[in-house]
Formats: sequence, C-alpha cells, structure tokens
Amino acid sequence: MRARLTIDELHQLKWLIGGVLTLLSLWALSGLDLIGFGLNSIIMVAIFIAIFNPRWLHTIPETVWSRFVGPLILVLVLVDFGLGFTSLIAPLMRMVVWLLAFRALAPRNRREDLQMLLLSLLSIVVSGAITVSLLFAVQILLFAPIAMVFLLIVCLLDRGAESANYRPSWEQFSLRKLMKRVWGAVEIRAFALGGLLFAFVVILSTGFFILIPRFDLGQTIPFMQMETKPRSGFSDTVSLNSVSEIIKDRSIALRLDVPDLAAISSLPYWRILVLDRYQKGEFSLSKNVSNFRQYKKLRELSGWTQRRVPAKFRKGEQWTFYFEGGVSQYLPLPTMFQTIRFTKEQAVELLPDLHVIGLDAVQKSTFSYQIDDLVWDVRAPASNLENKVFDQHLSDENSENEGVPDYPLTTLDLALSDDDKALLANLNGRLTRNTNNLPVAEYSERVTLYLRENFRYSLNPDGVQGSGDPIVNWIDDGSTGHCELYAGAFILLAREAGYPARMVVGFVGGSWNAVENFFVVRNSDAHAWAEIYDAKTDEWLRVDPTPGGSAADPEVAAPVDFEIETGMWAWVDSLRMQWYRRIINFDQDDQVELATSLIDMGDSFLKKLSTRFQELITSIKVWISRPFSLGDLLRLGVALGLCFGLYYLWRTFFSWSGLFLRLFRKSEALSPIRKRAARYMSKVRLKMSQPGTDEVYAETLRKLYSQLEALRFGPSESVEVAVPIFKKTRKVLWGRKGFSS
Amino acid sequence: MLHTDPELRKWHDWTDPDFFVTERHRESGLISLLLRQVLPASVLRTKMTLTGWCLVAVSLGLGAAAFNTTSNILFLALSLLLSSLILSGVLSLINFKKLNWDLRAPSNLRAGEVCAAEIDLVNEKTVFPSMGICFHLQSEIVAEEGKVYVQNALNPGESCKLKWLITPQKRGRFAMRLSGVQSQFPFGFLQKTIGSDLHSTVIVWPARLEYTFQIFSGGYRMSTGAVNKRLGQGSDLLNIRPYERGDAPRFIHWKATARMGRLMIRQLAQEGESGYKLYVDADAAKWNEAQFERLCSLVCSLAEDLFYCGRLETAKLGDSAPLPMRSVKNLHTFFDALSVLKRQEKPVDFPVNQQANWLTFGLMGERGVAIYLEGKHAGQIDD
Repeated sequence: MRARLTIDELHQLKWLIGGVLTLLSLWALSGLDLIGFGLNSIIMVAIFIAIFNPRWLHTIPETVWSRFVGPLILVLVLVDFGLGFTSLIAPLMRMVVWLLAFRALAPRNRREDLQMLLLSLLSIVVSGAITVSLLFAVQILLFAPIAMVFLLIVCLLDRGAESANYRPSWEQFSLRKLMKRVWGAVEIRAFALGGLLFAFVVILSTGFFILIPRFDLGQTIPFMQMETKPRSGFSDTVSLNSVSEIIKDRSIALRLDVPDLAAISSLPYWRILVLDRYQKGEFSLSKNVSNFRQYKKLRELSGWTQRRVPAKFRKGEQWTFYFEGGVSQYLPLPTMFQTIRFTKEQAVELLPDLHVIGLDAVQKSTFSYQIDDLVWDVRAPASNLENKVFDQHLSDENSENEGVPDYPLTTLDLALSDDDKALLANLNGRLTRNTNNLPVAEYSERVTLYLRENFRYSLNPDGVQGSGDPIVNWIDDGSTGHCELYAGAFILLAREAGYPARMVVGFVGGSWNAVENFFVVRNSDAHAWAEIYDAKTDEWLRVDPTPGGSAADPEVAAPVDFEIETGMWAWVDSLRMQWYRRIINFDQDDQVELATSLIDMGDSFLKKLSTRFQELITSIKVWISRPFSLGDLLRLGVALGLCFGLYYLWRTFFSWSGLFLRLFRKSEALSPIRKRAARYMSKVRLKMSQPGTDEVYAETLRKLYSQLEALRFGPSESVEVAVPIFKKTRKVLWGRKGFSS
Repeated sequence: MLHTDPELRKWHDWTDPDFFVTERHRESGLISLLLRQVLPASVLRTKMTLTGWCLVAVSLGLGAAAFNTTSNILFLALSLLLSSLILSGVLSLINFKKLNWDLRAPSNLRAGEVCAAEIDLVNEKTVFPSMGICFHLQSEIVAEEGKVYVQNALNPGESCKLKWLITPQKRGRFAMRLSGVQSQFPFGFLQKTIGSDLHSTVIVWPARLEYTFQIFSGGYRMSTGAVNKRLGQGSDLLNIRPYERGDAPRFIHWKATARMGRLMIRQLAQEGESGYKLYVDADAAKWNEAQFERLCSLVCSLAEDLFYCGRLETAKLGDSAPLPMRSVKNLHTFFDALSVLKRQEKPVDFPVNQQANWLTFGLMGERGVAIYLEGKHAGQIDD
C-alpha cells in the first residue's frame, strides 16, 4: 500500500508548486524588457530561497505581511505609476511582478492561491501576446499541468471553514524529505493517468483552437485597424543605418522550400526594392516612379518582358516562398524568374522598370508565393525606357538636368554641394587615372577594390558626421562602415563618373536548415548593394562593394557560401517556423483551407472506397462467369461452412456458454440466460421509469418484467422458455411490435 | 425498485451489481443544467464556484481580447481554458461514477454521550480514484448540518468508513439523513452535489444519572411456591439460544455451536434470589416535563445496573404490558420504549405497592425522584 500525504505535506506541496508557478511567470515576464533585469532577478532568487528553505519565511508573523509589506508594495506601485505615467504598460507589468512576489512569499489561503494563479496566467498570456515567441508555447505547456495540480491540491485541502486558516508546521520541513514522500505517494498509474488527461486537454485545445471562428474585426471596424509598418530599411525611403538596424535582428524573414540544395548554384541576392534617388543621406524611390507603377489584381505573372529566364535555365523547378509579415510591402525576388504565382487573386503593385513587385499593403502574417525557375545573374537587361533615356542622355554630352529629374535619370543625379562633387571627381580621377569611358565592369572593380582596401566593415561607422553629405564625409574621413555606406559610396562615385547607378536593398545569402531541408533567410541577412548601368550591353550590372562573400570583379558571381544549420538550434528554428506558420499565422483562410482539405480527403476516401467496391464486384462477376475449378468449389465450401458455423454458434449461444460454465465450475448465477435477463431488466426498468408511458404499455412492461425476474432470480429455465421471452422483450422495447401480444 | 411479484421480493441475488442500487436522479440537458443554476434544487445540482466564475470571466476577457486583436496567442490561451473547464466537468462526472455509499446510524445512543454515525463508501471504478468528497448529514439530534470529508483519495476498488461524531442532548426518536454528497473535484470550478435519499431513525436512550439505591431484606425473599426460571448467573442451564450481538463470549456453548454450525449461547438460571420488577408510572398529573425526564434517566440507569447484576425480572412502562428481562435484547427493547415514553394523561390503575419486589418511583422535592420498593423508600436522585 502506498503512503498517503498528510494535510501538512499537502500544504507544503501547494506552497512549492505556487513558487514554481511564480518562477514560470517571472521567466515569461523577463522576455518583455519592461521590467528591470535587477528587480526580476532579485525576486526570482527570493522565490528560489523560499522554495528550498521556506522555514525562515514562515517565522515572519502574518501581521508583518498584512500591515507592513502589503502597504509598502502598494506605495511602491503608486510611486512607479506616478513616475512613469507616460507609459502605462511598464508600471503595470512591474505591479504584476510585485504582486506575484507578494503572493508567492506571504502565507496564502484559498483566495490568495487563486489570485496567484490568475496573476501567473495573466503574466504568461500578456508576455506571449506581446512577444509572440515560441517560448510562450513552452511556458503555457508547463503552466497548464502545474496549475492543474495546484488547483487539485487546493481543492483537496478545502474542508470548509475548518481549513480556511490552517497553517502547516514548517519546523521539520525538508524539501528532500517532502519530495521523497511525494514520490512514494504517487503511483505510476497516477502519472500515466495524469499524462493521458493532459494529452486529452492538449487535443481538445487544439480542436478548439482550430474551430473557434476567426473574425478579423480589424478589417471590418475601421477604428480598430492596426497598420503594420514595414522595416524602415525596406521601405520607399531608406536612411543610412536603416538596413544595418535590421541586421541586428536574428529572426526569420523568409523561408524557401527549394527543389534541391544543388539548385542554389551561386550566392543568392534577394532583391526587395530598388532606390534610385539620393538626397542628404537618404536613398528613396523617386516620386515620379509612380507614373509607371501598375496596380493589378492577378493570380499569376509570367516574368518580366525584358527579363526572361534563358532557355538553358528552365528546368521546371518550383520555389515556394514564405515571406514573414511586417518585413516589407515588396517581395524578395531573384534577378530573373519565369513565373510568379499567388495562392489567390492578389492585389499587387508592379514596377516593371525596376523589376520589383509590391503588395497592396504590408502583410501582417506570412505571405506565400511560388516561383517557377529563377536565376541570380550578375547582369540583367534594362528596360526599353531606361535604354532609350540613357541613350539620349549619354549621346548628348552637354545635356543638363534642370530641376528634379525623372526616372531613370535620377540614377545619374548628384544632389551634392560643389565641394562634395569635387571630392568625388578627384577620387574618380585617381581611380580611373583620368581615363574616360572605362568599361563598367572595370570601373566597378577599381572602385570596389579601393573601398575594400581603405575601409573596414563595421556596424558602427565613423566619419559620417560633418557639414557635408554623410556618404561623401565617410569617403573622405571614414575608416569603418557598413553595406549602405559601401554601396552608397559606390553609387555616388559612379554617378559622378557618369555611370547610372542605383541602390538595391534586400537579402543576401541565407542558411540551409538540414533538419527539415528548407532555406532560411533571416533579417540579419539584410543587405544593400548597387546596380550600375552598362550602356554597351544595355544591362544592369550588380556590384556589391561590401567586403565579404563576393569578388571584387562584378562579373564573377559569388560562390555559394551559406551556413548549413544542424543540431538542436536548427530543430528549434524549424519548430519556430512551424509555430509561426501553424499557430501564430493561423487565420480564417487556414480554417477554410483545412475544411476544404478535409472535404477533399473525405471525397477522395469515398472515391477510393467506391472504386474498391466496384473492383470487388467486377472480380466477383469475373469469378462467377469463369468455369468453376475444384479449388474454387473447395474454397466456396469452406466459406459457406464457416458462415454456417458462425450462424450455428450464434443460435446456440445459451447452450454452449452454459456448458462452459459447468465445465469450469462457475456459479450458476453467471448463466448467460440470467445475465441477459438482468440486462433486459435494467432496460425495462428504465423504460418503466420514463414519465408519460401509457397505461397499457406500462402493464405490458410490468408483465414482461415479472417474466424476466423469474428468469433472473427464479429456478433455472431452459433455453426454449427463455428465448421467446427475450424475443418478446426486444420487440416491446425497440419495436413495440409485440405490444399487442 | 420493488419487485412486482410479492414472492420474488424475498429473493436476493448478490451477483447483480445494480440490484440494490437506488436509482439516482439524473441531470441531463443543457437547459436543465442552466435552470438548476438559479432554481433551488434538493437533488442533483452542479454549481459554479467562485473559481469557476473567475475562469468564465477570464475566458470571456480573453475571448474578447482575442477577437479584437485576432491574436492567436490569446486564442490558444482561450482554448486551453475552455478545455480545462471541460476536463473539469468530465472528471467531476467520473468522480461520482460507481461510487456507492451507505449510512449506518449509530446504535445504543445515550443522551449526553458521544457517538458516531458511519458512512460506508466504496469506489467501484476500475481506473479512476475518487477524491475531494464531502457528505452532508442532517439530524434532529444536533442543530447544525454536519459535513464529513473524505480525507484521502479513494483508489479504485477501495472502501472506507467515515465517522460523524455527534452528542445527543435528549432522549427520543430522531431522524438522521444523508442529505447530499458534494465535491469540487478536480479543480474547484464546479461544485457538484448529488442529493441522497438515505435516511435512518435513531433512538437516543435517556442519559445516565447518579442515584442511590439501598436494598433491604424484603427484596431478597422468594414468594412461596414461586418457581425461579429467570435468567441469571447460576449454574443450572436454562436454555440454549443463537448468539446475539452483545453476548459475552464466555457464555458460548461450544458443543452446541459445533453441532448447529453457528454460535450458540448458554442461558443460565438465576440462583437463590428473586429479581425486581420495575414499574414506571407515566401519569402526567404526577410529573412535569423536567421531572419526567429525570425519572426516565433514573429508570434507565437503575434498570441497566439491576440487569447486569441479574436482578431485573420485569419492566413495565405505563399502560403497556410487562416486558420480561431475559436478555440484553429485552433490556434494549425496554430502553427503546423508555426513550419514546411520553407522559400519559389517563392514569393507569396498577396497584404495585403491595406486590412483591415491585419498584416504583415518586416525586421527591422539586426535582428529585424517589425509588420505592413495595411502597417503601429504597433510593433516590436528589434535586
């Protein structure tokens, strides 16, 4: 027999579990960055001590808690609210932390236990709703069973008024001893049962989660609409450092289901947006670009007119993109692609000359699209408009732009002071050794080499400050810089030298998740590079002057160099991906999709069943129509014999089961006739107890009940007597056919 | 349910597990469940507790927040809360399934003495234990409703006995009822009460009192020609009878036991002395309420002492027939009758004063009661 926990031990266990719940909540709240690390840590340490050595805590009189500690916390909270009145959330969360600490350390009755539980739940849910982290799943999955055990103990300890103010004795308390006692008292079966019940809760919760209808009220009620802003580095206007800010974020921005790892033949550059205009340290998409923006609703786009994937690269490969919400309105795309496909008809914004595709708004959740055959070539054909304008412009050497130029002449525009222009011209002169019309690739290589030799890569650039243009300042005084400065410097130098150049922002590279075999691009892969116009070939040449993966010669495609993620972190990443995809981004469309796939599954199952049935009928027909062999006749005979045998066993059930009873010397009370009579009696009893039964029917039931009673408790009756009574019972109960008899 | 055939009513079959189970009231349907939240119900009732209402409030808050923000984190938390509420309902239902209980009223109760009513509880489930169960007991003996808690989990197949300690203050016949079985298992969200129709009647004997009783020579004499066939502590075997609860083991007749296949008791004849006969005159004109209660207590105490000394022959209460005192059972029957004895308005003409060995009682002072043997003062209880 297992040991049983005493009331004192149950109280002590409740205390410990309360402490664990509080620690869990504090862990959740620590992810918010709203509560000071120091405050959180101190309280966590105090609760740890209270769990391992609660004796000292229980020597404090209760009046100290109620008269001094409680009011002190109230004052602290009020002061905190007073000081931080501009933001409500941070003091509110700190108040929750104080209350949690108070409830975890002070003596508790049932009411306080419930308060603590509610506070813990609130902490975890608020933290989860704000951080949307995978940790929420871990925390809530830990919280749920612990909270259930906690509530169970609270329920078991509730013995009315007598237990309301009960305080256990802590003098002899030892955590080790208690754990030993708990281990001795809990059976393995209880663990298994608990596990099963928890699994039941998880399955039920999953069901609820899927089935609860989702109404996007934000879409229907205008004042509730929460605008999702893109990352500042991927918007129409990009200030210096914006892209570098994104690099600090390790979260996943894009996931690709690729046909094969070998399909990634060179370092992938994912173009999100092209910025043509530069002014005062800001690259932007010039306003007049909107003149040739196209707003369409389409489900599929067959590539760009001028940018078709060469026939040799068309392999019919499909790349599925899962672009996370809140990154950018524009989609990450390769240099060239054959076809892009959306899951439904999609409102899009096309910039054909820039080869950029944008959505109607920044997506809140993951947006998926599919691309057939893609190429990351260093060169890509320019549009007809670009070629035409550049031809005219470059042939007319004396042409001067007045006012704000239109695209694509913005890619030649240098909105700089004369001093800055002179500085750039001076540098260009040195780099080109005053040679005019240097081939684009060669010029690019020289500039790239210059930048790489004279500057080091750093996310904390220097030399940007000053009275002039920040990029020119950096070229002049800087020694360290990031991709935007490298690309910016290249673009300004190229424009000064008369080459049209523009900035491209997006991602470069990525990593391969070997656990689930998908390609991951993180926000930390954000990058800025340049495209320079080659008038000889009417193409844009990609130039990435930032030191790193690519060669100085822009014509040489950078080799494939990405991290292959394996092990636990890759697994966590894939889990996180599933978490965001399946849980966080689960919406009405997913519900519809799920329902549709279930219907499809049902349909396909029915079709298969029908096909099988028809096949069976056909095979039977074939079997009947062909001449019978001896083997066939034998098989038929065996099948018929089996059927007959089963039928006979069923008909003679009472006889042979009675024989078994006698053989095994079982009690006569277990006779199948008596057992069946008992079963029918309970059914008749139930029928008789139902209100509104008419008198004649009730009389029939009473008579039947008497007969069944005689079978059940009276002398043994033969099968011949019993079977008609059972038959009649069945008729009366379920058919009412024997009602008249 | 009673059998329709009178003959079959006598039959028993222990193999039918549901044979003796009283049909419990069932609670079915959502509307019925909701109605019972507001309507007073004496039978089955499922009520939300404060914790349950908190859960509902939190769920509503979470639901509103979830729909407003379309945050799946909140939908997830809401789903978890809803499923825990359902789990709570399912476990609460399982907790009472195949749980049988029986009320055993205490016997031989005496006013002023502590006694215990017993509840036999059996968990006939095969997998799930039953926990957190509280029995509600009511009795006219005590003013307040009693609550008896099951201290530990009752594992499948286990049984236990629970005791409700009560101290009756006065004699009489009282009803005792197990009014309901309650549980907030497992999480305290729902308080489920099952009305129970188990009731019993208990008889509380009068309290014992200190008294004096002087036996004088008259009490020893034997009437001429009287044959003493009274039971006593002598050596002559008077009778053999089956064992009854309360019989001393030393009176077991082992040879007869072996022959009959069950315990048999020797009954010996009284030697030498004759016994006393008690007569209680319940004339309302003679006794007021308080005096009558003291009289009953005195009679009870005296009868018990005399019986165990082997000196009680017969007892007569008011106008009822004299009851011979041959066994403990007879004594207890007498006590039962004494417990419910009421003052009689109509005087009984029973001249006992001149008869041999009759003990009678009379008023002495304001509250005192005197004992008379053949009309002569033999003992008393003082004021």
